[in-house]
Amino acid sequence: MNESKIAEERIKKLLLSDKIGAYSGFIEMLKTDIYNTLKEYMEIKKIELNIEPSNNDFVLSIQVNAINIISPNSIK
Amino acid sequence: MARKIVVTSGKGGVGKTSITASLGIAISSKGYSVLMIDADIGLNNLDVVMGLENRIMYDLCDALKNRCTLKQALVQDDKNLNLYILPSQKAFSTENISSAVFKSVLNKLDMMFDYILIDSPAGIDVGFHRAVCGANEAIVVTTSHVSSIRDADKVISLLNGYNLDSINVIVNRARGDLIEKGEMLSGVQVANILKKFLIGVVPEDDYITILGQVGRIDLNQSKSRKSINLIANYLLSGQLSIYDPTKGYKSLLKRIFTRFGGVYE
Repeated sequence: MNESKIAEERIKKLLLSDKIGAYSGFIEMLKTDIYNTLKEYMEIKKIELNIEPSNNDFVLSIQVNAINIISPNSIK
Repeated sequence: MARKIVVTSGKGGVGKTSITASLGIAISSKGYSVLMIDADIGLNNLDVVMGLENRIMYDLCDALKNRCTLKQALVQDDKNLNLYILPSQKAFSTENISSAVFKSVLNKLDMMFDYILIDSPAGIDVGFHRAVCGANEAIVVTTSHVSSIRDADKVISLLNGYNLDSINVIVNRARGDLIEKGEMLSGVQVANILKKFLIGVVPEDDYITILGQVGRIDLNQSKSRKSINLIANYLLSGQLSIYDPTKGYKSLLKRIFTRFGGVYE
């Protein structure tokens, strides 16, 4: 068993959650900003956002449930 | 003008003071004038680690209260005559030593030395900021333990807010046997997690503990001598070479492969 690999993954997740936790409302603010951008293009029912460490990056996953696509003429 | 390097960590007990003292000895032994300032006011230990606790007449607080001049508060090492410490032995509290006052002390000492090493207190409160405020560069000392890396990461976030020329990492207390077996993070892994430049790996060294009990750090007797000298060499010349603590634990074949393919000495 490679304990150092397990420790590495554990620490990365810990540092990520520390950084997100250090900025109050980080996830909510980011979600709101993304929602405000996406709602210009679609009617959104639900939006979910997740950030996970992956190797040396952070991967941001956004799941959007949209009811309708807004017609191009409506886009200002 | 001196290069002013703060040695910090966040977490206590990772070896900041030992690393500061060892680097002070290593750099001064190469002919450079070095001042080590004990910025851990109230919980100072640089004097003890250097074995100079009985030679202190005045300290930083005396100088600030004009009981002596700043120069009178400096204690010269008896083995390395280029090496001085500015202790803070007598203070039991911060004694209203603000960051501005501390910075002015550094400015007064700037022209007298080639290197000023500032031994920072643990933590990230007022003492930490006071230690960092006058520095040009920072060395973050960490071990491979999760809690140490976590605290180092927080310290680095704070250091990023200062206008420092460099923020580098030293991984202390590396156990070569455990790293080789994959049971402990290597220096490279730690530096990658912290996303900062690794300038040295220092092995776990019982002599540091033993010598600290009886007198002072003596690089000639310690296992970490080579690693400390490599770090000092990097600070002096920019030539990077990182000690490999796993060397004694590798098979002959693996040592040959590492020699031709790896980046460690």
